[in-house]
Amino acid sequence: MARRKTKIKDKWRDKKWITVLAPTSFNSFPISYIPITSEEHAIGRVIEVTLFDIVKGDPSQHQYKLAFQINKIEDGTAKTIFKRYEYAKEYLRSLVRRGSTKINFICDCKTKDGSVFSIKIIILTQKQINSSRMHTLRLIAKDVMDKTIPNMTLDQFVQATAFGKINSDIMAAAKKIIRIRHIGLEKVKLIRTAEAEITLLKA
Amino acid sequence: MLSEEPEKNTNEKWGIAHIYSSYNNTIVHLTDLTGAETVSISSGGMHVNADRYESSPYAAMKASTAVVEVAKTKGFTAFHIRVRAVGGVGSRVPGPGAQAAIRAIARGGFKIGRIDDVTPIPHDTTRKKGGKRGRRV
Repeated sequence: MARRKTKIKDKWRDKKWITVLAPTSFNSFPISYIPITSEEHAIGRVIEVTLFDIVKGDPSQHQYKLAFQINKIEDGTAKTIFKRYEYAKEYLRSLVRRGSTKINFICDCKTKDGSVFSIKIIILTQKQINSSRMHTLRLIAKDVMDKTIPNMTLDQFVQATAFGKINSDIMAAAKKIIRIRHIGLEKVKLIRTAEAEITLLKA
Repeated sequence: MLSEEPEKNTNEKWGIAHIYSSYNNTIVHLTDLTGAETVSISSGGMHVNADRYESSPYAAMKASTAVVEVAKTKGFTAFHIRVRAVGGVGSRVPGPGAQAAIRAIARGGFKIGRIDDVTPIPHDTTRKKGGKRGRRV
């Protein structure tokens, strides 16, 4: 037992502490300080933070979670890419209530530089609505996203997701159909990075 | 929109405390922020002899203090907490040890960040074991 203990301590002493930076779309803000044994093993690790941790704006930003994946390590700092954006579980629960319709819509979108994202939209109405209206709302969401997202670069897209640009665009278009309580991106996931997409297209 | 001056928080070593609390045991697992590097791990069952006490608040407290000691030697200063119940077809409420474990970590002198519930909740469910007529004891 005693031998095992010393072994564990030695392992920990070998570890190097590195600073992890957010992607360039968040001004390469230092998000965390983590221990690693080797650089190859550290690549691919995912770090989850709230929007508030990075932006330090208003407290409502605690409700949005962002995940970044380490893709490169250079002299003591790790670079990351945007991996995921989602609502906190409690926030989503507080939004959903009886007597109003919840509409979900999932679609894949490609940015200008070729990254593919899967986007899940959530729409909550004031009152219950019929299925034809639900259908139209989904069409509108799809329409708005198809128009705007292919013109955005990766950085623009990440900023638009995190700061609610995309959902305000959809809100403006959907208002004409019916009164809406909430529109948002419940989850945005990176499906393929631009490089992976290019290799896939070549193959 | 973005804050311009990035703060250097290099002295703060944050980690995550994963607390898995069921009705049979409590497991306290401290990791770094990625969850890939274990700082230390302990469970209620490692500190009590009787099986029925494994999930008790006392055992959870013991497990937490054991884990806290190791984390202190490794220089951690703050923890986010992720509480988890069994989830799935099982209980969605954390067991009796969860609160005691959180309190012991806070008492250990660490800063506490977010406290999240990460119980896995299925969108549909598989059938609970025990059959149609339930468990017949």
